[in-house]
Amino acid sequence: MTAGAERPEAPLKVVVAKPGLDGHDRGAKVVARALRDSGMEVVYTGIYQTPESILRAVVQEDADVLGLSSLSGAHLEYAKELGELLRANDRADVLFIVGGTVPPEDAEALNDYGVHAVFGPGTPTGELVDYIKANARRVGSA
Amino acid sequence: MFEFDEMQIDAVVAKGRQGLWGPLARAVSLVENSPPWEVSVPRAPRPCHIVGVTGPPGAGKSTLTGRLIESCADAGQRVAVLAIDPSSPLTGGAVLGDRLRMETHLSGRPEVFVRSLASRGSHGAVAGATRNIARLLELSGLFDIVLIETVGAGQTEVAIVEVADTVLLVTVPGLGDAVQSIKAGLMEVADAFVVNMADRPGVRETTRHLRLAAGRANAVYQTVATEGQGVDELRVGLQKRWQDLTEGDRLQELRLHKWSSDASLVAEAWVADCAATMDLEPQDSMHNAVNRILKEAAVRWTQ
Ligand SMILES: Nc1nc2c(ncn2[C@@H]2O[C@H](COP(=O)(O)OP(=O)(O)OP(=O)(O)O)[C@@H](O)[C@H]2O)c(=O)[nH]1
Repeated sequence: MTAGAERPEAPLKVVVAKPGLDGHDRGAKVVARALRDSGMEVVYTGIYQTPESILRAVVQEDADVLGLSSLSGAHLEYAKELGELLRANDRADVLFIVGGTVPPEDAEALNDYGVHAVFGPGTPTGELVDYIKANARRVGSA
Repeated sequence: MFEFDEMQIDAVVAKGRQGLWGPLARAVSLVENSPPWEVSVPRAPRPCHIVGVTGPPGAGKSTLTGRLIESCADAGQRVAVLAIDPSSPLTGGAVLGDRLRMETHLSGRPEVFVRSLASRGSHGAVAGATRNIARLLELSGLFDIVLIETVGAGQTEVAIVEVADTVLLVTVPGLGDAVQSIKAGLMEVADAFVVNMADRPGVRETTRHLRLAAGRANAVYQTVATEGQGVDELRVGLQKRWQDLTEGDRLQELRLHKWSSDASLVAEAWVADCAATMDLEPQDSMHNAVNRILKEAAVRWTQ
């Protein structure tokens, strides 16, 4: 039953996390704001996150997208563990992306772990937004 | 219209008992994504204490809520939190940052459920959805206390916390903030007050001021949320209030009273939704315009 017009699709929900011991989160915050400005709902979980706390956020928030911001070089380990946790917890449908400094040779490994896309530093936020809008809620259906 | 049936609830409960929150989180999304008139949550067999935490921006609500999670959980209570932040009226997007302040209190406590919500849509729609989500959490029987945290900036937020059985108004030392809270109409709905940042000067004055201004025998607590100071006392106060409410008929009366304001919220959301799609003529008188809106809303409702 609707009182008015067609109900628009619910906003995409994105968890932005910054795992590891690296204290910088300026990049993650910029991304969070850009996603908000494109109409998404962004749960920003801050720095020093463990894979378990990130998984908890994804599950409890019922997120469509998980964005890991990584500058510390530990992205491989974290992404691997998170990929496993997502699958083990019935959330392999989450669009999983990694942003930050990722050497090209790591990108393939990340894909194997379940990461759908990698965005290097300096990627225009518009590109990120377009990618998310085109792919979120469609993981596994293509 | 969808109604949660027993099977759905059973799945939510069975998983939730194991600390697996996927099904509950999905159910919350279902409610969140539906207008309040489309959702029917059956009455819970056993009530749980629904507590609204509100106050001016930056008063320390998220930090305090994080500490309350800790204090309640350590006292054996099962806690859920709904943390509400405003949506941008322009883009509909939101940055939900409350979870960040609670993270440190969540590790090692898989039994705690925290959900961030953006205050989408109209006044009535937000408050209505929050109410339905709180009722869903209650129905699951997985929680003893549900904390609803929202910034006390205006009427929408007042409507949100009015859903609660107990409303905590969080302020900080300094007369200005206390006065502002009164202006926002929060003073009237508060059942208890917290003077947070009690490590700052002016605590006693603000406490006294609140006691006077409230004009009732409301409790005033002092906390330093960053240190956890005073939080156990607050938790005990909440437990005592819940005991008082549930011993006699007070909770039933309170909820009956809220129920009628809930119904008017949903009606308000329906009318706002309806009016948003009507072409109202600017040359029409206000009386006629309202007439048209209400008639149209009534027609669509019965369709
Ligand atoms: N000194 C002191 N600082 C505090 C206390 N409680 C919170 N803070 C700090 O105050 C700031 C705001 O705290 P939050 O918990 O984010 O406040 P909030 O009311 O949730 O803020 P909004 O969500 O923006 O409305 C943070 O930097 C906290 O660390 C306290 O008791 N003493």
